[in-house]
Amino acid sequence: MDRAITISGVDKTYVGRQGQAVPALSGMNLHIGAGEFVSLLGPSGCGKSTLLKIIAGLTRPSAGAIRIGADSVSGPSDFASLVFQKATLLRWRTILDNVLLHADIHGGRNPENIALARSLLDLVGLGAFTNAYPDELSGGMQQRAAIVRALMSRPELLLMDEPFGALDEFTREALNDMVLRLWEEERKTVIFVTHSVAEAVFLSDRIVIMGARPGRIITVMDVDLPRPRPENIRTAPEFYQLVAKVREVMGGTH
Amino acid sequence: MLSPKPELMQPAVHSAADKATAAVTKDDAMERGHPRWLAVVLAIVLPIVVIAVWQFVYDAKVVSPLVIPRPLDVVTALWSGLVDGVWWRHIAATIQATVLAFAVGFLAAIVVGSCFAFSALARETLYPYIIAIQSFPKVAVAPLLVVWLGYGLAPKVAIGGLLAFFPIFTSTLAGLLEVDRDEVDLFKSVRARWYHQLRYLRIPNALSYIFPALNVAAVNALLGVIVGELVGTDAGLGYLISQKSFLGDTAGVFGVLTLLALIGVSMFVLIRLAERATKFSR
Repeated sequence: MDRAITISGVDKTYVGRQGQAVPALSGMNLHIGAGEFVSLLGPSGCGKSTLLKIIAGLTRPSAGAIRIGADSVSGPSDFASLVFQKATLLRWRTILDNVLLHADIHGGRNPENIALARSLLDLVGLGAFTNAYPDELSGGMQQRAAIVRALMSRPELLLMDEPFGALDEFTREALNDMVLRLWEEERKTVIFVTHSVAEAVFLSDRIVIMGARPGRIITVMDVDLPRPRPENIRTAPEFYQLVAKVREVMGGTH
Repeated sequence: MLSPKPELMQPAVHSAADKATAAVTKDDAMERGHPRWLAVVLAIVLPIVVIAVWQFVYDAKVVSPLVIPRPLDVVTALWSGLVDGVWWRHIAATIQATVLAFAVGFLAAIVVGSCFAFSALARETLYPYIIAIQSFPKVAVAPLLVVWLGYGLAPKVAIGGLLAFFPIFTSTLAGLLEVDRDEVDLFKSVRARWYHQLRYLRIPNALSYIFPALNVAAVNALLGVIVGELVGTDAGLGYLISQKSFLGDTAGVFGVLTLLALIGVSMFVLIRLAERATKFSR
């Protein structure tokens, strides 16, 4: 069954403080194939996060619809998992307990999901930190735990809302590499919100460039870099050319 | 299905940036460091100096012994009060009333705090009055409470409970309401029901607010009880203080004050231990 994501005619309008209509998204149309890695790139206020929340089923669009395969999105489901800019780990739970939140809410812990949690934590290099508390971990380590937590419900779609926006450049690149390896391994559909051009180019199959006020799609660019992408592609001339090209298009959005 | 492939992520894991920020250091404190022994030595020397100065002031006879007693007399008063057994009745009365006041204030604060947290109507209607009561000097109603509730345990528990109520009430309310927007979205995105959100998010969050407030509440309970005992009862350390000062037994007053300090410190230690035993102080 095709689990492609179709965004058709999505508008989102908020009601402002004085009761006026504040358009956040206008006339969004986008088709994202199953297993595709798509980045939403744009300045703050362009509605990237709003779109992500609508796809996640957390917010309803004012008009239009999101379909996954043939089904309309009407609320949150196990199909999609969210990763936020802040790791949002619960500070009174250990890393393992945080990762098992989904299990605690749905049907409880069993040897199978505990084993999955441990193996995923091993995979992202947190195997030695299962009993640590979030405040004992660096920002990058916390974010890795948050990614593991998102994977625990075995989602087919990963929605990542500027997950590395608060991290320093080196940690960000290390986590970009990690996400890319995970994705090459699993081929989940990923929608990745960012305002880093380099990050978007490095990770994505396609980059959706958005403009602000109201949030809208300016253009969609294909990233024709080879897969699997080695880490040193960041220094390749074609990488720079793509970054420059994206910047050029974005120049008109500010 | 994801399978473990530990070798996959190893380079990313041990990045220098991670290690540098993983450990929380104490070096970023604003002041310059001092050797640990200095603090210990000073902490021991300080009371010795205070008692020496005290003894000196007494010997110099600059103030009447009615104002400041001899340090040794305080020890004697404390000793005889405890060994003769006259004070134990009062100690028991104060501790009993304090524990009851704390329990009453705690339960009421949790119940009312939760009602406020879950009902915007209750919050908006009653909050101005809660603020009014909170800003009111509550010990001022102590004599009235004695008139209403009689001579004995009830007025002490009422004042102590009232004073213990507010810190726990405000932290319950804040802890249940002040959860992060992203945290709420996280729970919604995994289709958590309201009771999941309560159990896994709001109650633990509230506990992390409530524990630090318990110390203040316990001290407040003791304060309220002592005020109640000063105003009108025939038992308790507050009663003992008013008796002793009426008789001009300043050494006895100092002795009782020492006991109160000990009770206060014991409460602090007990609550700290309880806080340590749970993980919600994080």
